[in-house]
Amino acid sequence: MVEELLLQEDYQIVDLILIAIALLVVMALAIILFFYFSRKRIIKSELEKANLKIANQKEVLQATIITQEEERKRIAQDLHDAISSKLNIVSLNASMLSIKDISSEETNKLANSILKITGNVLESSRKIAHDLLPPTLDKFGLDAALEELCDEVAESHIFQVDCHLDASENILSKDQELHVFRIVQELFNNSIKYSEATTLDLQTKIKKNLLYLHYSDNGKGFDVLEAKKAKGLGMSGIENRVAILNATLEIISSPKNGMQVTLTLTPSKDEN
Amino acid sequence: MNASFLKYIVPIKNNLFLFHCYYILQFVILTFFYKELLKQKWVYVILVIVLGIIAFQFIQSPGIFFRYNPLGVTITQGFIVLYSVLFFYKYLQENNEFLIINIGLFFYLLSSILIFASGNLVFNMALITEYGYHLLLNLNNVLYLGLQFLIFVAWWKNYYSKKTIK
Repeated sequence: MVEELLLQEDYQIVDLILIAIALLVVMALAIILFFYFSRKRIIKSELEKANLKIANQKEVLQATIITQEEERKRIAQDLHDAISSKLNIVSLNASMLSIKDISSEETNKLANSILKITGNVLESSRKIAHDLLPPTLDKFGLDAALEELCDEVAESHIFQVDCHLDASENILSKDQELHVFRIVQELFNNSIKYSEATTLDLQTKIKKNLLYLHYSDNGKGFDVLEAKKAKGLGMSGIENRVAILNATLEIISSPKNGMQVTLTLTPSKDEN
Repeated sequence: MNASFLKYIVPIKNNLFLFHCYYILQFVILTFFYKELLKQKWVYVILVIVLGIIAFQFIQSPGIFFRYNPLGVTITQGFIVLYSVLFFYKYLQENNEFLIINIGLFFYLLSSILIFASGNLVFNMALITEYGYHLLLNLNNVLYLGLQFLIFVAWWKNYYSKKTIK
């Protein structure tokens, strides 16, 4: 009787151990499943992030290619309109000169016309080259190039351009200068094309080893958020350049209130 | 477990001294294994401390040589389980060829702690040859088979299939 009771107690202990082991097994399974599912989720979110990045890169690439194509188209058109057609006339005149029985009066006329057209062609080829990359930037630095740009815009007499350049005495590297110049060029372009502004204002200054560039117009302004969504080529070009420069760009604008842009940039001249 | 023939060679009570070899060797080898996976130097410190504790136990009461050692088993397997959890955590984001083996080790070691820790209790019972004891041993065998199966799966995935593709 006592032995039987003892045996029963033993069985109970064994049962208890079995239950505890079963609990441990369940716990182990739960932990493994927990790790498995969190792993799955993390990998999924990583994948999404990577996909987003790739999509973004594709967008940038596409924008770059489109800009490039447009630039090519513009250059081709310029070359065709301003140079090829005029050179055609020159070659025509020259071939007429080579005809032997021709009076000296006519020869003079033809020569004069050739001279005039060649001068024109020279001028326009210089202009095209200048549009592509202003030599001032390379030779005299950012300040001079920006000033020249301001002068060019002011020449049109549609805008009143205020230019206060007080910076960049060769503190930017060549690459940085080019990017800043292109950004300003694009800002001017945008104002000229869309803003219906009358005064444009450009300021640069250096404070605490940072270059500040303020640009503002008094045009009709725009909704910044919508402009970001729409992402025209010009805007995305500016943003790409800002990203390359590692700079910060602040755009303040709203409909009917003009636009103010502030670019803050750390100069680095270690590259050259 | 099948070393009972030793009884006829050496005059000893049982073959439980082999069990001490088992869990100590298991701990040492798996510590080196996880040192390679986790790239942490402090596992060696824990190795030394745990071995010290077990050595102290043997000096204190040499009698446990012929019995189960619940404390030793719990400490050693517990630390290995901890390492395997750390390994899970470390490889949450990336893939590792030892992930499946790690699952097996974690599963087996965690669930077999109680089987070994309760060894003395069951061993001393009147029903030593009854169903309870054998059930526990067989349960251990089943769990161990699970571990072996997962190791096989890991080998199959990482090595076998690669060879056949090439």
